[in-house]
Amino acid sequence: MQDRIRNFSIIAHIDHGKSTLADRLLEFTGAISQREMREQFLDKMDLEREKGITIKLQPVRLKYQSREGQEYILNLIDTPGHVDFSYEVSRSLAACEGAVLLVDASQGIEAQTLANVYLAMDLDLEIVGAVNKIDLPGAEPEQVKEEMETVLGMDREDILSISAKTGTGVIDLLEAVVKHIPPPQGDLDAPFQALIFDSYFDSYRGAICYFRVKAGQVHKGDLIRMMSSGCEFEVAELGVINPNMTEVQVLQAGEVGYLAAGIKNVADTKVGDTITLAERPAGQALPGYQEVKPMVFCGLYPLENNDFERLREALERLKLNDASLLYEPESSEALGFGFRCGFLGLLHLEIVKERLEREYDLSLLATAPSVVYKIILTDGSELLLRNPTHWPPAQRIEKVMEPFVKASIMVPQEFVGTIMELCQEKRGAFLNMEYLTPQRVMLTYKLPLAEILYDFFDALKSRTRGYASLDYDLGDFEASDLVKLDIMLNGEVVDALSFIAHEDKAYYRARSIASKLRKIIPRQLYEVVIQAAIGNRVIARESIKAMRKDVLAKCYGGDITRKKKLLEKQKEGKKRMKQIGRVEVPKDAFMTVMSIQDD
Amino acid sequence: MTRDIPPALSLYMHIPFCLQKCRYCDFLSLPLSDSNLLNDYTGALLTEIKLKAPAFNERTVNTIYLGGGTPSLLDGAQVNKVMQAIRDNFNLDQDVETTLEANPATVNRDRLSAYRDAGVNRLSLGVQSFIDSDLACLGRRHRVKDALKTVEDLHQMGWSNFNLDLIYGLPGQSMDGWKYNLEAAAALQPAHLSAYLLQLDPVTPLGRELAQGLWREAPDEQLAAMYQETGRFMSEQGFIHYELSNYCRPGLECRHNLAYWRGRPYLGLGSGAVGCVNDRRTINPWPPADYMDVLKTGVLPPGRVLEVMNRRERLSEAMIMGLRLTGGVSLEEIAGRCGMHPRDKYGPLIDEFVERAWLIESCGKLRLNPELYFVSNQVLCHFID
Repeated sequence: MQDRIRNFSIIAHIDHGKSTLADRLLEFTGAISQREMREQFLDKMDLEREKGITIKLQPVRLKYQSREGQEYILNLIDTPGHVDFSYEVSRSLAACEGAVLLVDASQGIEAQTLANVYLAMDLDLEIVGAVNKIDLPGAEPEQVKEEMETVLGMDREDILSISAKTGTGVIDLLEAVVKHIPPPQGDLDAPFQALIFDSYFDSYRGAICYFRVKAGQVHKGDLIRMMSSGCEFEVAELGVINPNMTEVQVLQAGEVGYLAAGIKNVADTKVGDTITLAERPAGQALPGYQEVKPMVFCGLYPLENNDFERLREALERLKLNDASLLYEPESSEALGFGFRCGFLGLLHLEIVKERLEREYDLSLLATAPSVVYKIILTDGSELLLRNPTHWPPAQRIEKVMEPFVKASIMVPQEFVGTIMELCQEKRGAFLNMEYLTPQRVMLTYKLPLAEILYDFFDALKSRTRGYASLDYDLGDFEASDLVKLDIMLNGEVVDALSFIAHEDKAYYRARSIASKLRKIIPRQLYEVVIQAAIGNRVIARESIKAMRKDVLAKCYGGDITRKKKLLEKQKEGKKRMKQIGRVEVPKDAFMTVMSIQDD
Repeated sequence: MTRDIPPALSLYMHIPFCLQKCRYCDFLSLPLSDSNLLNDYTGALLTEIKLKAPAFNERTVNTIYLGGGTPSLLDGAQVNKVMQAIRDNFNLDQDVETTLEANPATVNRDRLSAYRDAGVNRLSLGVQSFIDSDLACLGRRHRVKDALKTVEDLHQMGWSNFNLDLIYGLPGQSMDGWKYNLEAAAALQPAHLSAYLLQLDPVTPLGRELAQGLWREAPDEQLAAMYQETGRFMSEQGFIHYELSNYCRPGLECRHNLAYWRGRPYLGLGSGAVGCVNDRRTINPWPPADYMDVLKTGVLPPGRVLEVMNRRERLSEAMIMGLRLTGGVSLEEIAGRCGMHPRDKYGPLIDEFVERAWLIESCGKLRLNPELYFVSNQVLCHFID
C-alpha cells in the first residue's frame, strides 16, 4: 500500500500558477467534477481568492491511475508563496517526500522560490521541476530551464514544460511525480507516530488536526496522546480530504489525514507536535518545527471597547490555525485595552487583521507596526522592546540595538545599480554579488529589518519593472542610532502613534507623518494641531483648520425624513473614526501614516 | 377620569405647480402645463378636506400653510374656496396663522387683497436675491422690480406680517453681494427673513453644472462668514435669530414652522404633502394626476407611510428638530411629549457635549452653542437613534 502513496507539495512564487496547477490536478484525477470546479479550489478563504494568493495550505488526497495502469494515492499539500509565510512552507515540506518546483516560463526563478527549494533539499525531498505558462507569448522555457540547471543543478532534460491553464503537460507531471518521488517509509507495526502540520477550530467538532502518519496506525475510537502535553483524547472522527472530508476507519504510516477528538482547548493541538497512542506510546516525539519568532509587532484594538473579550477569543481561535501569531494584552491611553500582536511580516499582519474582522465580525484598529528592538540599559540589563510606548527615558539607555536581516535580491543585471542605490537609502551594507547566469544577478545585503518592513518590497518592484525578487533571513541585533518619535494631537501624546526611527531620518519621517495625518484626519469642530517630537523637542508641526461648514438645509415638515437620513449617514461616518482625546481619527490612520512612499 | 385634550393641529397644503422649475429646485413641483389643472386640483383639495377633517373634529387647527410649488398660482377665488372648506370642516383657532407662499411674478395688488379676504394673514415671498443676474442664474421667473412692487403693495395695504426668502452661496456671489441683499431686504421692513444656504442636488441643472466643474462653490470660510454676517446684521436690525436659518421681529416667528420644530402634529393636504399624526409620518400620492384620480372616486388617497416612530425615535427626532431652535429644547417638555426623558437615553452624550461647550444647558433647557450653528449636523447626528 505504501508503494502507491506519493506525498508532495508544490513550490512556486506568487503568480507562477500554483493554485491553477492544483485546480488541474483536482480535475485530471477526477477529485472534483467540471461542475464543482471553481478557480483556486484549495484556497478556501475568500481573502485568498480576492488577493489571488495562498495563505493557508489545504491538503488534498487524489487518486491517480498511471499510464501503466497502477492506481496511486497522491497527497498534495499546497503551500503559500509569500515570504511572510515561509514558516508554513517548511511545515508542508516536512510532511512530504517530494516537491514540484513550478517556475513561470517568462519570469524565471525568484529569490523566494530558491530559498524554498533549498529548504526542500535540506529535508532530502525529491524535486520535480516544471516550467509553467508555456502557452503565453513571451514564454522562454528553454532559458528558464537553463537557469534552473545553473542555479539548482537540475538536469534540464528532466524539467517538464507545462501549461497549468490549458492542461498541457499536466499528465506528464503526474507521471513524473509517481516515478521520481519516493513512496513514504514507515513501519506499519511500530507505535503510532504522526506529525501535526496544521489544525483549525470547528465550532461543532472542536479542533481539527491535519497530520502525516510517520509510523504505525490509528483507528477511529483510539485513545490518542499529544506528546508535548500528555493530554489524551478519543478519536471521534478520522478521515481524508478528497477534497471533501471523507471519514475512514484507519490511517497508517505514509498517509495524510485529519482527526477530530472533541478537543476544546486551543493549546492542546500544537502544530509540530507528535500524536501517539495512549495504549502503546512512541518512545520519542518526531522532530517538530522550530518555533518561529514574529519580528513585526503592532497593537490591535477593538473599535468598540467592550469587544475586548471577543477579540481575545478570536485571537485564541486564530492562533490555532496560525502558530506564528503571538499576542499579549496591553493597554494604551489613546485606545484603551487591546493586544500587542506579533507577526511574520506585514502581509501576515494585514491578513490576520482582515480575518479577525471578517470571520469574527470585529472592527479593529491597528497601530503602527514596529520591529523588536533590544535596549541595553545603563544598569546592564536588557529590554526587548515590542511597543515603542515603552521606550525608556534617555538617561537609562546605554545602547539601542535593532534586528538586521541578510537579504538576497535576484535581479536582471541592468538593474543592479538601481538596487544598490535603494539598499544604500535603506541603510544597507553590501555583502556579495553573484552572477547566476549572464543576465541574472544575486545581490546580498545586510539591512535593518525595520527598513524593509514598510515599502521596500514595493520599491524593489517598481524600480525594476517587477523583475526583482527578495528573500531574507533574520540575522542578529546590532547597535544603531535610534530615537523615539512621539506624535501629539492638540498637545497630547498619542501613544499608539509613537514609533522608532533612525536619527538621520527622524526629521524627514516626522514631517512626512505629520503631513500625512493632516491629510487623513478630517476637519473637526476645532483646530487640530499635529506635532512630532523627540523628547521635548518638536521637529514637525501641521494644523487642520476647524470645520467651518456643514450641510444646512431647510428643515420643515416634508424634509424631516430626508434630514434624518443625512444625519444617519453622518453618524455612520463617525463610526469609522476613533476618538483620541477630542480628536476623531480615522481608524486606518495608524497604519497608513507609516507608509513611507513620497507623496 | 379626565380626558386628554388632543394637541392642536397644523395643516400643510401643497400646491405643486410652478410657472417653471427653478434651476436649483429638487422639491415636489411641476411646471404648470394647463391652467385648467388648477381648478381640478382645487376641487380635489376640497374633497380631501371634507374626507379628512372628520377624524380630527376634536382638535383645533392653529396654523395653516399653503406651500409649494407656487401657491400664488391659485387666484383669489381658488384660495377662498379651499380656505372656506377648511373653515367649514375643521375647528379653527380664532387666532389661526395662515401663511401663503408667493412668487412675486405671480401676484398683484388685487390678488393679494383677495388672499387677505380669503383669510390669509401671513405671506412668504420667494425673493431669493435683489440682484437680477442672480435671479437669472437661479432660473427664477421674477425680477427684482417685481419683488419690490409686491412689497410696496403689501405696505400700502397695511400688511406687515410677511417673510422674505433669500439664498446665499450663489454662483459667483461675493460677501459684498450678500451684504447688499441683506440690506435690501431689511430696507423692505419684513416681519421675518429666511436665509438659506444654496443646497444642490446633483439632479438639478445648477447641481449638474457644479458637478461638471462649470462653476465652483465659495470656500467654506466664506460661506461661514456670510452666515455669521447674516446673524450679526439681522440682530443689528432688531431681528431675533430664532432658528438656524430663520430671523424675525420679536413675537413674529412663523408659528407653523415652530410646530414642526417642536414636534407638533400636522396634516398634509394635496399631492406629495407630508403629514405626521400620532407618530405616523405619511406622504400623499405623487404626482398630482394620481392624487386627483383617487379623489375623483370620492375616496381618501392612501398615504404612503414614511415611518412609524417608537418612543426612542420620537425622542431622537425631538432633539434633532428642537435643537435647531436657538432657544433650544426643554428636557422636561420633551420628556412629557415623548414618554421618555432625554437624559435616560442621551445623558452621557449631553454631559459630554455640555462639557465641550457644544451644547449649553441652563434653566432646564438645552441649546446649541451659536458658534456651531453652521456645522450643527456634527452635533445633531449624535442624536440619531
